[in-house]
Amino acid sequence: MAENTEQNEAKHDGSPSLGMTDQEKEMAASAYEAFTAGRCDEALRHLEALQELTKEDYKIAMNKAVVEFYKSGQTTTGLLKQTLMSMKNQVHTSAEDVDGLDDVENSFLYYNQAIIHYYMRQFSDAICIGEKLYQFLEPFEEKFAQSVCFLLVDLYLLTFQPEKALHLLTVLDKLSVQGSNKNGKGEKDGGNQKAELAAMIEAAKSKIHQYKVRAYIQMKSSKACKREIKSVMNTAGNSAPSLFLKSNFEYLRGNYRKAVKLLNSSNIAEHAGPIKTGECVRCMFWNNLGCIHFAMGKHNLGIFYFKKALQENDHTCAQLGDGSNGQSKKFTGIPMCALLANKRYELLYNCGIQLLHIGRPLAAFECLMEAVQVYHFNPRLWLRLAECCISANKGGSEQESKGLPCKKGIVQSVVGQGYHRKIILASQSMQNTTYSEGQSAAIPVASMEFAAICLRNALLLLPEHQQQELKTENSSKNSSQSGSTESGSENSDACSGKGQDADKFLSAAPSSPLRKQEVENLRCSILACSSYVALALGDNLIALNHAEKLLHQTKLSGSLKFLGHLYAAEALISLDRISDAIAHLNPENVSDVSVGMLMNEQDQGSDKGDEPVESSGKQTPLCYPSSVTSARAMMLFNLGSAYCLRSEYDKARKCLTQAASMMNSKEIPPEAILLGVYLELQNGQ
Amino acid sequence: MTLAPKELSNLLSIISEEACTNSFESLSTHFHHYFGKAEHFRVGSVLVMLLQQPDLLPSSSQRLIALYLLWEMYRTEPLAANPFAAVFAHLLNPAPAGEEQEKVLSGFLPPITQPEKFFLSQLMLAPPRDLFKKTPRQVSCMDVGNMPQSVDISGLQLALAERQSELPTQSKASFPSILNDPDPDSSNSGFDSSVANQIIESLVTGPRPPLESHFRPEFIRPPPPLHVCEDELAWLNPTEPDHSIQWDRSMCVKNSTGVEIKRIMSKAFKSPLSAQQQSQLLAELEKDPKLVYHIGLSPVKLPDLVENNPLVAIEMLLKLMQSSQITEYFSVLVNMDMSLHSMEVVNRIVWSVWSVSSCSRSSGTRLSMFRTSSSRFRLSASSSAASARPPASSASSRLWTLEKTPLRPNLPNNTRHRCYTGGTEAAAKRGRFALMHTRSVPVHHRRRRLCSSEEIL
Repeated sequence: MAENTEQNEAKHDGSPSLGMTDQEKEMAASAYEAFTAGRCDEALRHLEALQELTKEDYKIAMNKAVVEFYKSGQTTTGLLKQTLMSMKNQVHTSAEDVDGLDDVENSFLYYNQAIIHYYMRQFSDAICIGEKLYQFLEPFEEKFAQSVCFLLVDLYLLTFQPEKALHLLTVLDKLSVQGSNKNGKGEKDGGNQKAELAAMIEAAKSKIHQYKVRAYIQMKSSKACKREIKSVMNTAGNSAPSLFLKSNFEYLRGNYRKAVKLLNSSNIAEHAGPIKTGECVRCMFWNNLGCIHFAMGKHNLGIFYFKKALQENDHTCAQLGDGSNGQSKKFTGIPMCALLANKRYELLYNCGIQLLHIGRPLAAFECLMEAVQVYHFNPRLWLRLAECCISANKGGSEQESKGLPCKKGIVQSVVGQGYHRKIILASQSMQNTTYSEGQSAAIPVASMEFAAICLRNALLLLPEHQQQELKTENSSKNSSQSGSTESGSENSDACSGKGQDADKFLSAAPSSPLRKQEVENLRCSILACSSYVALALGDNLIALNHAEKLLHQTKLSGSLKFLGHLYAAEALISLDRISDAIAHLNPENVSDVSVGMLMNEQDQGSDKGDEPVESSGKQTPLCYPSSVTSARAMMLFNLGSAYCLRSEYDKARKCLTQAASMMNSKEIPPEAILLGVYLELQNGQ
Repeated sequence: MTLAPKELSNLLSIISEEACTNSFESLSTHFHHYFGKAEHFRVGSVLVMLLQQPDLLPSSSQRLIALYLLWEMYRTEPLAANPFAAVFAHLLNPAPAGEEQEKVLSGFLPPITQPEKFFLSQLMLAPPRDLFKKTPRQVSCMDVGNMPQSVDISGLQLALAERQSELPTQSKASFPSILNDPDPDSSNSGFDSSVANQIIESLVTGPRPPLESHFRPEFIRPPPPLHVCEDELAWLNPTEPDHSIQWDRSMCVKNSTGVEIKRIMSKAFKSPLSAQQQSQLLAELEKDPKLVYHIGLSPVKLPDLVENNPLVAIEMLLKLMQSSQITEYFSVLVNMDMSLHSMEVVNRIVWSVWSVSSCSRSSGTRLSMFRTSSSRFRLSASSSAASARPPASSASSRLWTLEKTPLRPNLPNNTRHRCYTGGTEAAAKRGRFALMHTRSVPVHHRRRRLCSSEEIL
């Protein structure tokens, strides 16, 4: 290819030259030759000689910088960045109009800048430059055009924009087809060169397939993915990247054992190591094993593997000397490609979510707090943080009610003895409204206040449009129906169908972007949590607001619907609207208590493999109603409480006995027993 | 809300059995000595709690002190504004059935004796000054048989009811969470002030004393389950990125031609080029198809080029046809002020695009892109589509049909065929001829052409 371009250039040499002597051209050619052969010193000498002849062309200086960069073993990234930056400023002050074609001249400068941004993880800057270059792709010679496209594809995938990446990949496909056509034409060039070219095209093709798989995986379109996987396996064989990709694919399909097998078959011991490739395959291996075990519900193994991955990552970082240096020296001393090796934040994210599921919310909170500094655009991560806060705060009372005999839950303490003995009843309301006084809620501690902030962030990050649509639609209905929302949700279900086909992805880095349905599920969960947190903080109006929004969501899972009614009722009671609350507490409101995602499972189930997939809803927390009856019983208990407030003690007692009869006597929550005690006391017992 | 142990012991000393020999007045001064206005409510709460627990405040004279202090703390304000007025109202107005009811509801004030009631009702009215000269013990032993019994407290009750109606139902439904042991060990001998004081202290002092908590029906509030979703964790794939810093191969290359061509181009934007310059430019363009991207022809500059050098503009646009920016060039072209040159350029471009598209299908998309971007020319196309008549014989209308015919590909297939059966080649030849011809048409001829174009557009 290199010779090819020189030929291309040779064509221009024929034209009458004004500013460029033959001598200079010769020098330039020999400098390039020396550079491609890896003789940096020689190239530098040529360039210096060239610079003495003519000083006008900044490109000589840039190539000099490039050669020096390679000479240093690609470790002086920061320096190169500065040099390029100053060059760019020079170019732009001389030619102010940026409107396009003049920039073609400077494409290499821009490309190199984009590369540096890429390795410094300044992806949006890199994309900005890359897209500008892409605008005038045609004038570039093929190989360079291809490099630009590949860089841009990689950037799109790293920033989870798979659709854009796919579009570019089709452009690349065309480019490579063109390339092979030309290859066919230029047969006279000699067999050796042709073989080289063919190999290059093959390599490009295999790379295109790999990129496509990554894009399809992000888009979760498993059929297209399957096809591409096949071509990857055909072209790239058993290399670590292809095996990892296939394992990823099987993992997403739920074939966990197969995924593990594939991972194991990749020979990670032989991998070149992070300094050469910029990637720590061992760390990725442990991480992926962790993902698989998490999906299998084996959380303890999952956390084990994630910890191992973190250790491996730390080890790599120590090897690279990253992190210990100051900011100024951060980009020197290690090869440029290794700048991307650190996967700490991805690992912390995984670790945090795993810890949350294992029931260690405080540790999870620490991990996720660190991760959220990088991934602050991920609404689901904010929800997870809020969930950490919630489960950290409910933790105590839950243990109390579970581990100890029921009586302890009611009687807080007994003071004194004999004649003066006093029994002090436990008061839940004291524990429920917890204010951490004296410090701002914005300080990240696992408090309910912080949960509220997290949830607000999460809601803000979700696209708004669908909700708006619903709101306008429901506003007319709201006046007539406040209690039963079944009809409302069905109606809006029908009309929101039309917006469904615009399948927009929502970024959720560091994992694949969310599809529309997932976004809606996420919205439901966020609203439920928001309502719960607001109740705990005593923000009853906000709680009611969230709960009603939740009940108006179209595809609400049964369990969240049940919670929505409970939360709405409690908020209404605190707002002194008892009869509205009682309408929410109708046990008939609960018809199923499954945990979401039914739609998706069916969507995907059609082409899932032979192995059955474990149901994702199986790790529901213990406090959670395990059946419709227990959910109804819970509603009855609350209904009883509501009746108590209206001094309708007989109705309350009826509810209580009915609910108690529905439940196993050991499962009766302490609140229910307290209600019984209350009733007896009211009776004068 | 809590009292410090020191404050509590002060309070207990005031209401102790021993203090009952002091007159109310001296008790009052003692009280005000120990407690400022700010502590009154807290002290009052403790007193109410003691009144609620008969075993902790056993003697009638002690109860009298407590009641007196409750009243005394807020004596300067109207009675209904006293936060503890509800206590007075309740004590003075026992339920009629209260006599029979043996068991007292927990947390409710136990009934009081007749002298206490008398004392309280005196407090409600304007109390005689000498009443406070007496000691609590004296009052408690008073014979109240012949005293006027009932005081009208309906006004007070009304005010209280009003105030309570503003409270949320939930707080009205609460009661204190301190309970008497329902069956105390009977072995115990009864009141023991030191034990009682100890208990009071544990009830009242410290953070979150039981005094503050209250008992009411609680709601079960299950926390939401963890959000369930698939593919949440970040799976890491090795990608082996091979983007690398590249050597700029355009160094010291093609600058020479570039400089000269650029010079000519900058001239071309301003004035018509000489024949020699024009041919040099076109020759260079022919040599290097990609040169056109390097000579600074941006869409913004296109109108200048069209006006000054339409032939060059045509050649360049044809070279740019594969560019992704071609639509921008087209939209500039169709939106520029209409002139002979611009129409000529459009004419040629459309014509050549069509002739290309007739042999390769892919360029057809370009054409349609062009069509959508040029709304004005689409108009003429649709008019021709509507008429779909065979080319007329007059010279000027032939010219126009030729301008329109390239747009025909958008007609349904069969009509297109009908139009072109016989003589596509000929039409093409004539078109080219006509185009060359226009260059030498006299001015009045050209004007006529313009008119005809306005008719159609």
